[in-house]
Amino acid sequence: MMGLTMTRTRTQTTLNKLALKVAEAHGELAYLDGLLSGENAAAGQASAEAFSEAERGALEQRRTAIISARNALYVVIRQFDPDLDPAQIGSVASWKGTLKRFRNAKSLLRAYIAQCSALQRGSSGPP
Amino acid sequence: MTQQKTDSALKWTLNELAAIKGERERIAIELCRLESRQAHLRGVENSLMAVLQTLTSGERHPVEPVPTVKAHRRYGERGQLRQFLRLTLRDAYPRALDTCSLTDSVAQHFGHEFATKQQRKDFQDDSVLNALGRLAKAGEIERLVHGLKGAGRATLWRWGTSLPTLDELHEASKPSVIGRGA
Repeated sequence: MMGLTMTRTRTQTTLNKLALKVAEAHGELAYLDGLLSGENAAAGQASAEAFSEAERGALEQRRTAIISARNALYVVIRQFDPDLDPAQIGSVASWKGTLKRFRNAKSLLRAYIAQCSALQRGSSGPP
Repeated sequence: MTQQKTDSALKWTLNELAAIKGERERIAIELCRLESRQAHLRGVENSLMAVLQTLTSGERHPVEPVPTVKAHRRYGERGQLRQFLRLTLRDAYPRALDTCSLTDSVAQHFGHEFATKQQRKDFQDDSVLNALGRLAKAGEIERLVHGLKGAGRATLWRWGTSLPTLDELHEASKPSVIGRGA
């Protein structure tokens, strides 16, 4: 079993991992914002109004969750080192995870919406 | 001119009342600071829990439930406490500094605040004295004891130099005995 210690060792590996999580949150948030504002024409959608009410709801819920996770990561990175500014971290595409197999923008969009809808159903499941 | 003399019992009671009010005011300010610190730490705790969820993807993590740990205070990079003490004593040389004032300097520099005298004492004993002891063992600083045994005794610390001590000079001044040839 992992032992906890009184020392608070900070390693570059840990910082790298936290920074990657922030970059993934930034990446997904940029993608989501593009979808919801209708600016992301490359995603294969005509406009923001192309989403059904349910799809929009799922995307907006996902956006709220990403922002919450991002803010928690910001706090944790500042706890790691108060001199760091996590808002300056860029974005990466690895947030896609298993969705990266969808090379086509339209198919990625459909798969992403399906994933967000599934997450929404999972979070509003029976108590 | 007749001198007004306040009754000693009255004087003491008034003084004591003022002192107690002063101490309560200090406690109220400290409580405010602690409550604010508590609220900040609650936020940090919630964020760490959320990040833990992200890192484990919601699975159980190796230590559940997470116990409490009385962790060491942080000084930035490794060795910062010793480095600060080194620089402080070097700048004060040839003056020696006592443990108490060094502890105050460390606390001020690293922004540590103590809610109780015991906390401050624990910090002095566990962290400051530990670091000073290591520097003395490495020969970087000197430990001097000032005063006689008892409450008046103080431990002073001075930046170490390569100058010989009085005993070493005395030894060196003794004529060396050269063995006679056969």
